[in-house]
Amino acid sequence: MNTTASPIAYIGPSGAGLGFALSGIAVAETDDASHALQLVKEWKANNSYQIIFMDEGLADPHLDAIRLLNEDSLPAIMLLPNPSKPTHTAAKNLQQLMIRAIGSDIFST
Amino acid sequence: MRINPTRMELLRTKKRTQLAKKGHKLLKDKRDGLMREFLKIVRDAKSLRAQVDELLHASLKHFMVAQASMLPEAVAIVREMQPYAISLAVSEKTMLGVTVPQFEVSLETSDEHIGVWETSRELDIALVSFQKLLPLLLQLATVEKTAELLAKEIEITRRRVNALEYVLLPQLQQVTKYIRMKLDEQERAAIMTVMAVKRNIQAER
Repeated sequence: MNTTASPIAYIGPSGAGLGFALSGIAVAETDDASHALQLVKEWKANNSYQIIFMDEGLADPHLDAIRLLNEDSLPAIMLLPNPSKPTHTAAKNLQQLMIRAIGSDIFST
Repeated sequence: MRINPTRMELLRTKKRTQLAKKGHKLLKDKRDGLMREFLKIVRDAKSLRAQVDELLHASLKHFMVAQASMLPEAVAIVREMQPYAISLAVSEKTMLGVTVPQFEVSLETSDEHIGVWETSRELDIALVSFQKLLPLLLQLATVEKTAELLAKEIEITRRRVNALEYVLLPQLQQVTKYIRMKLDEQERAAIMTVMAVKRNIQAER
């Protein structure tokens, strides 16, 4: 078991991180999706965080790269819906996992 | 086909076929077990995701309203404060040969407190709803990560099962058949030779 003091990070658009910051989560705010991806890559390379919450609006343009970064057991990159423009990418991700594993999304019907 | 049609090779191929059949059965069982676990986890993940999305949406809206109703300076001051310290315990669990992480979070209040006068009521509501949300978020992170890792393992196992079922086993069966045919042919040729020799000897007498 491994316990760290600042193990969780949130990366989202400007002004969206207050709740996370107040809960003791490290927050990075950016409106540039490429910058967000760069940050996640750096965090993964440096093993900085075990869980990374990422706004789905920032993840959408680089979804394949994010999926590749999320293939190892740690860090767990979790997409969170954007309150102003929800794209439901995380729900679609689950559907794709079903298709990858079973061949079809049997829960969709 | 470059195979030595000998009895040794036939025995070796038979052993390989047996091993491949055993491996195929084991991998098939593993795939079925993984699928059962995966379906259970995806079902949990779907309901948890819906719950988290709803709570997060409400909580973030509260924070937005709180930020809008406070002075920008007050927001900046509050942002710098750390009323809670978070610590995460990561352990590993093995599920049918797949190592999956388990997260456990603990939230402790620190000495810093948010002032009542500088902040809005919405901020308190948002903070309370966020604290309720955090354990669910962690639970969802565990469940989604497990689903992701299981899906990857199912894909690998399914490919292995298919490779054994549709490539290796038919190949080995073909090799066995070929060696058997060659050995039978050799046996028939040997009988024919013996019969010809016998006929020649009888003709000479």
